[in-house]
Amino acid sequence: MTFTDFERRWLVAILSGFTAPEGELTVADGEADYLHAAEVMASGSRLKARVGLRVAVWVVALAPAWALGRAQTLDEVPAATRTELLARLLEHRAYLVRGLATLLKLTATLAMMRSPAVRARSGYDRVADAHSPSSRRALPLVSAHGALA
Amino acid sequence: MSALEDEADFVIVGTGAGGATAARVLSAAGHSVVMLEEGARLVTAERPRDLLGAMAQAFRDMGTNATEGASPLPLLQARCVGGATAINSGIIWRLPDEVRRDWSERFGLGELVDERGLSDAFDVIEAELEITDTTPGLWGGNAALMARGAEALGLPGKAIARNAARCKGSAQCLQGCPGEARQSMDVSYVPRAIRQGARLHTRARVDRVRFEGGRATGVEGAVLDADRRVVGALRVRARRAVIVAASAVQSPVILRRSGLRGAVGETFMAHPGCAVVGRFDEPVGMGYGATQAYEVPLRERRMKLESISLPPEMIAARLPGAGAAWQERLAHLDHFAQWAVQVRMEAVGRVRPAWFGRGGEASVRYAPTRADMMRVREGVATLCRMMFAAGAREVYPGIAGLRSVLRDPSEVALVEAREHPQAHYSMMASHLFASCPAGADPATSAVGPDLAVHGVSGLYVMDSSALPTNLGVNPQHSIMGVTWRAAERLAQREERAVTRGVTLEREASASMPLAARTGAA
Repeated sequence: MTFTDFERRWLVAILSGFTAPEGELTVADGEADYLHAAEVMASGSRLKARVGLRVAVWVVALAPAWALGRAQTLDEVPAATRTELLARLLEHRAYLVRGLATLLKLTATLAMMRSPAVRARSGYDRVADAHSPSSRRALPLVSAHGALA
Repeated sequence: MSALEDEADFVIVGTGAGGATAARVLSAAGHSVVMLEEGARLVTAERPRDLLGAMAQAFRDMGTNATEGASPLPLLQARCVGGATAINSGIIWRLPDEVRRDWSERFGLGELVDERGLSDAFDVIEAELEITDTTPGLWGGNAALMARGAEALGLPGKAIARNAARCKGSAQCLQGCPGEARQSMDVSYVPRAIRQGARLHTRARVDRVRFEGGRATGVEGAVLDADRRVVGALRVRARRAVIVAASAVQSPVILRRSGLRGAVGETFMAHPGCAVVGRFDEPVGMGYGATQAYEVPLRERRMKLESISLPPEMIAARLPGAGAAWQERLAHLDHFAQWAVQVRMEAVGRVRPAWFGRGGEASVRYAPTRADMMRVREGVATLCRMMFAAGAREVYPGIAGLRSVLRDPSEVALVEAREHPQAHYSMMASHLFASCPAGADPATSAVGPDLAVHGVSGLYVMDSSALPTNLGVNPQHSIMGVTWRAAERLAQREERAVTRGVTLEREASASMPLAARTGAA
């Protein structure tokens, strides 16, 4: 499935919008390839899911209009408003809206954590790194009840 | 166009736990076997370590298959050599005895699941696939904390038995074990069957079974390229039988596309589940340890609780919110634990070929009952309590409409205060069953006690779709054990047929104990 130019613009605005420009873990421009993640998701999915992803892009991109009453698309609102709106959609009372926003959030994390730099900043691998052969001698080993000792 | 034509005694559709086990047994008994796999054969060293790449390569439709209806339930399936065994955590449970007895009494499967015979099959499989309990040194923080929580609440937890004796704790079962410690079918029974003479065709999608005079004589389908485009026709002839082992979703689709009806696809069962995440002050480190190492089986409550370490992409998506609060949590991904509840649901659905979409797509109807959802709620509440008992400072129950972050054990009561519809949970199912159930009565079953499809000859179903009910435990071992029994008996019958009036040498071979001929002695 190929996204149109404006859908691609919307996609980048949506997927990058889950993280605010300021915060403990930020994603710099170009660090995460959001479009690639969306295109892989779309091309590998079954027909219904491909349609669902496209619907998600439209519903969320037009959310400023239907949720805030603004004649703007998501890429046109300030970054802080975008992030705040996405947070609202993730907890929306309508299952469809909530589900579509969550699908886009997963797509965003697939792109973000694909970046070695972002993944490293998340600390996910810190404990694993501590158990790598080079550092094993210096650190306590995991035990049944003292993994964290 | 590149056409695929082949011929063998047995044509096996699918290389998961059922198909690979059938290939392993039948090829060892001296039969010619062709295995057909819709997905690709994955080379361990080339398997992507990021989740996006792993999903694109090994998951069926990027994991986007789901049930129909207003609250779709995602159905996680693989599409690669080894099937689901190439992406699961290698958890091994023998068929629970009360399920075995139920199948004997209600479905007339006494001979198939005979206690001694099945136990012998399990013994061989466990030896060949190096089954062992996960040692505490490989639990990692996620499982160790779960053990702490279970002990604090007096729950009966234990180490998970897996087919990964040489596990190094890289927590990458989903992306493919980097050291091939997990004895998934792609690194165990499929190569073994090939060494025994079987042939494997990958990117070979089977659409239907061919019949001549009421007998299955082969399969037809399509040859696919790496992008799943059709590049040729597939036609494989079966001299003795076709064995469909394409999963509880795809097997009934193939059979129905072949014109078979009756009980085919009329039932469908599952173990749906959902996860609870907790944040700890101390480092947890999901990136280290066995992907799944600790479990709390609560069979009388029809549920099982399991530790499950997932890649950072999934944990990040599961953490609540967006913006600064989410980013603060993302910066400490090593401080989260995740445990899941899987419910042995009483709901029964059905499977049909999809009206549209690419070949092989299915339409699955399945709706958990109210009692099922009460059990999900009970499981989530139990997991939340375990998290707090283990020392979590924040717990995320993952129920829409409920507070997304619980900070005190007393708040678990909020989970139990009211019923939550299915749509409010982030549920999924990876254990799927009973869409071509085995049984003695053709009116209520699709295949007989020998797993032969009722009403036709030369056609068998040997995967989780033939299991007549769900189990309440991880199904891989039961699928392999039941398939082993059925394939062994099929080999015996065919051996007898062949030796009748053939060479003396062959007769001498037939008189050997079957276990010796299948290499199991």
